Amino acid sequence: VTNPPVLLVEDNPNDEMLLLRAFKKGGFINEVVVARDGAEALAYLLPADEADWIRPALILLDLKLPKVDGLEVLRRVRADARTALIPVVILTTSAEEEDVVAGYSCGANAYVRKPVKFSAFAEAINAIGVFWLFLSEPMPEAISPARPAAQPATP
Amino acid sequence: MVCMDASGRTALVNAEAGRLFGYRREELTGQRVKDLELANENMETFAYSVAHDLRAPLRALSGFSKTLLEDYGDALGEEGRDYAGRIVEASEQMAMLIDDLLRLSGMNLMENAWKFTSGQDDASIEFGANPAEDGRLRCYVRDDGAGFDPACSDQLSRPFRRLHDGSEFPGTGVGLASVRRIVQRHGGLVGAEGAIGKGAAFHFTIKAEEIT
Repeated sequence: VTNPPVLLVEDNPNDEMLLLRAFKKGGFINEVVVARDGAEALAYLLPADEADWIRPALILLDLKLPKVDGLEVLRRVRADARTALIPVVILTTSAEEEDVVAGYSCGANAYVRKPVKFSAFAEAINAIGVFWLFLSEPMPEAISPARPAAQPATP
Repeated sequence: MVCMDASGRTALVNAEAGRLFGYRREELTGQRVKDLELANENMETFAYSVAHDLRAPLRALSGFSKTLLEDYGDALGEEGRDYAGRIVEASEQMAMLIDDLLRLSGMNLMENAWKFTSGQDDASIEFGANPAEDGRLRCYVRDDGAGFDPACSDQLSRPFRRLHDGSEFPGTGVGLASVRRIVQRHGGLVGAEGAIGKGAAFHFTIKAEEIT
């Protein structure tokens, strides 16, 4: 059984490196695919050619992104049957009420503010990984694409 | 300095006199309202910038100095490890300061005075500072608003305790508790005096160099 990848959508190269480090230290073996802007994320998630499409187990999504912003990525992911049920954790610097409300309204499963202190950041990444990759039962892949988008549950 | 709350209640702060004058929006001319709105926007932009834009580079400082210690600790030698450790500590201290600053700007004492005088057409809020006995600076905010029962003053700074009904004055009860925690973290003291219907005065002490 191969582990499905995790898609990280992050434009800040420092945050990318730190997250990859925290993820590796957490002992997770899933490959982390990195998209550095919203357009790259959509090209990966909703490709025109579906031949080698891999459904990620989890999407870690920053909100402020070049080209297509995080909320728009989330809207399009939720609107497409192939990706509608993939868990999306918003991982961002902002804890503005407006952003949190918009994130959940667009269908995010969780909203996590990136802590500044690295040990707290690493703990957060570890907790997200443990919850979404181990504790939470994944949606069976054979069923999910054919089904209409259900209301996603929050942890 | 000028400020405005969400309901459009505005204030002009005369820093020289150290007094805050409350105005109703309808009393203000169009140009002044525009000025106030612009000043308010500038404040919000500044707070947003502090909250978000400063955090990302700080996370990098904290993260990579920690990484340096973990991965290259041996190569750095004792002196090098000491330097890297200082970067870790300083970045974490700055992260804490930013959080405190934001918490203070969100619910400080001035906002309380603003809230508890909201039922009055004419309100006076005074703030100032004078030297305390221990060489620190004693800052105060005094209003002539709803006040409180001095017998209940020990409950004021406990988290989630409120002396007023939510329908009368909205709030969560964490504001003064946060002020006390922050001031105590800086080694200062907080205190309050007041009487029902006769306003309230809150003061705290802080090292003078910490606010310059």
